[in-house]
Amino acid sequence: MTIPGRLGPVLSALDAERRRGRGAEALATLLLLAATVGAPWILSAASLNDLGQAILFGLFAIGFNILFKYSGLLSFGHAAFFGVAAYGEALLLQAFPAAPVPLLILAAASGTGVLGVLLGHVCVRRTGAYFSMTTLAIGAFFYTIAFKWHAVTGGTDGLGGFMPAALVLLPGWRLANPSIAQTYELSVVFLIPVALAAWLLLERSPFGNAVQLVCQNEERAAFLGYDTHRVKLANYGLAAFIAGIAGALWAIANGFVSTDSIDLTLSTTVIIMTFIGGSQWFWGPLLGSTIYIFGSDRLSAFTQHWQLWMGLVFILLVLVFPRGVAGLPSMLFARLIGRND
Amino acid sequence: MLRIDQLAARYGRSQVLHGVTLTCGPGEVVCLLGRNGVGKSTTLKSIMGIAGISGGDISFGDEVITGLPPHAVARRGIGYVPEERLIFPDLSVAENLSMGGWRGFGQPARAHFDRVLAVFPRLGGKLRQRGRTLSGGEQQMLAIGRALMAEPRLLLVDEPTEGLAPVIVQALERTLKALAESGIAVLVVESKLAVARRIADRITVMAKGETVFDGTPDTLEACRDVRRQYLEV
Amino acid sequence: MTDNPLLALHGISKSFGAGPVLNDLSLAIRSGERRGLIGPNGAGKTTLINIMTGRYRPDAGRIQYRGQDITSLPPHRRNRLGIGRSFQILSLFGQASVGENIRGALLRKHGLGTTAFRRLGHLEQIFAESEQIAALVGLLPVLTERVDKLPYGMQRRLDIALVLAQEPELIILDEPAAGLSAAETRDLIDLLKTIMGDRTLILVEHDMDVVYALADRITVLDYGRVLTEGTPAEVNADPEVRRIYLGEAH
Repeated sequence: MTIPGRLGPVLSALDAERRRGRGAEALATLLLLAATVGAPWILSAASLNDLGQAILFGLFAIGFNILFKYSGLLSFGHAAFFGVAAYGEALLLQAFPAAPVPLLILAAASGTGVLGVLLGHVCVRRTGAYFSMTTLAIGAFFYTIAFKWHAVTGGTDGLGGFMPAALVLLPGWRLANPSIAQTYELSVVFLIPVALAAWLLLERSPFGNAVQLVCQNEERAAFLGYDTHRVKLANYGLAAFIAGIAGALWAIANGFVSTDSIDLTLSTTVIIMTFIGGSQWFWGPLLGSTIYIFGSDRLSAFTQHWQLWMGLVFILLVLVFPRGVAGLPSMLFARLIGRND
Repeated sequence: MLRIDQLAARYGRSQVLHGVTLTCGPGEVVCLLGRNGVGKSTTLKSIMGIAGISGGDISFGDEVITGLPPHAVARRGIGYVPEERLIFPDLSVAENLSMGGWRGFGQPARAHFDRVLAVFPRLGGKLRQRGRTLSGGEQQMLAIGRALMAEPRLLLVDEPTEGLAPVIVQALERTLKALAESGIAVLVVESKLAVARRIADRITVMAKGETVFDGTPDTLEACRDVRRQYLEV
Repeated sequence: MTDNPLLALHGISKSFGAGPVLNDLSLAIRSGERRGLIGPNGAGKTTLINIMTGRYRPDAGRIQYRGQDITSLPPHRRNRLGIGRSFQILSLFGQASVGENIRGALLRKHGLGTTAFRRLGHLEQIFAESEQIAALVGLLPVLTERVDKLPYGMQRRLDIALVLAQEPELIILDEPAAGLSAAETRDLIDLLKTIMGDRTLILVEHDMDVVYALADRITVLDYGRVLTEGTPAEVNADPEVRRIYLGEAH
């Protein structure tokens, strides 16, 4: 638990909340939300597509960061949950084309969450390198199932053609041939409330407080009466559920699911996104995914070696700005007042 | 003879010391007293080259040792017992002691072990036990014993009596006095005035990063203001 | 043996490989008692505390709390039964503030420790209570300071505050005066005398001033067994105790 640069500000967010007025923050949040929902009227189709992906992968990365920032656990296999939910959603859509889509998304994500709790029971007993190695193994395990179980997952060919002729949003409200803008709005309408609920849970509720206490000093927490195993398990299940929401939406937005929704590359991409944005802030991974997606899109227009450049950016960021882009303001501020961090 | 002159030093991000002056000569026990946080530990760390020195001088014998790295300081016959003990948790008691007397080759002479075990007989029964399985007080004894293994000319001890049973504290006080009598210079950081009264030849009092008093225990006894202002007694 | 002791240990043995640390030890603490636990370094005091509080399982023997067998209960369950303990080596939530540390203890006491359905910022009662407790141990001025930046004496006080915040029935303190100056130790004694009420206390300490000030009964441990037990005056006068532990003074 000694990963540098991961520590939050000195004043607790809570004490700060009590002291600061809520006005400015709420206004900024509302403006941002309005901009997000209103994006189809502002952005081009290509940018809208990127933004939709950025938000979707941003939620996925937030799910990863729920484990990293709050429980201090670095997972190398989080794509397993994303992928299981994506395949699950695809299969559910195939089986129940007339069922309301929100219900199916919740079903896929909940199943993933339960899977997370079952796996977590084994994983969260260990920390540090042991935990990370276990997640690596779990990721590889699920990848192998996706790869080999051709009958269900389509193997490397992938799974397609599961989208019904018309999506049933609610009983009586159907959406046929959704445009990019419509798919975007559908995703956003799901992703944003989930993200906000997760934020409330981890940053403003006793549960999130407990997760952080257990991470800081598990022994003392236990002696104060916290069932630390259960707390870690619940957080792991939550992280899986969040990744599951993103995965389920991915199946719908993409119309196609293949092994690159569950492979190691995806697991590591989500880590990179988180660190680019800054892991010590709840919304950092979303910032990171936006930079990554827009950045790689623009880069790939210039060069086919965009991944090389992305990798170099990542290394640079980790060396020079260990707190990610989100950490820039506080780093600059510290430099200004003459302190060495 | 240890001489510190107007020492200024930082530890971590804060400037902890800005004017420490003291001496400690062979054959004497000097106690460094003061409230928690005034910089007593940082003074010892500065001598050992662990703190960042920003001003002043430290000399030992006729050599200036300001800012020398820790291993160089240790080689000049200065032994250090930190407040946190820092014994090697996975080595046995015997191995910890050997490390203390390590000269780069072979094992330390038997006589060194015997001397340490005479001071701390309890360690004798636990020679093969691993450091991490010792109790807090036993670890303290081991840390001091380890420093003694190198036969230092100057011994720096940070809060030696903390966490020790009264009967061991008394034995330790006798040991420190005996070490001084055998010619070693002993500089002890202590927070308990009672202990200092019993063992010190001289007492130096610190407050807020500088030395504010230097004298014998009797002189300190007479200066009620100093005691009240800097030692809360 | 007293009837209906609050905490009873029967035949506790524990070894860590090299040899037994606790050897067929039995002990009974009555409700409302203030028991001091002293003994040479390595006698097994902290191991005994760890077994009482569930950090270690004994190799043999039973522990009963209010008549209920708790030998295999994990630490968090024992805490919920009403046993609180402090730590010889400071164990705090270093990156959090003083207030947050205390709130963590309080939330759990009120059964709100892991609830998802409350806003932390709206739990005014908890904030008020945490300020009271901070004031009680003299830490109100540093309520929002980060704990690992505080001086040692204050961290020690916070350690005690966390135990007190949960108002346990049985308070176990493991060397609470370790590293404290003479004045800080006196403050600690005053604080404990004030808040103890009719709670039960088990106190492990080397500072005999603290033990004599607080304990009405003392158990002396040596080599993992109970050497003797008695009032402070009796224990103080016992020649064997003097030989192995107290020495000449006191």
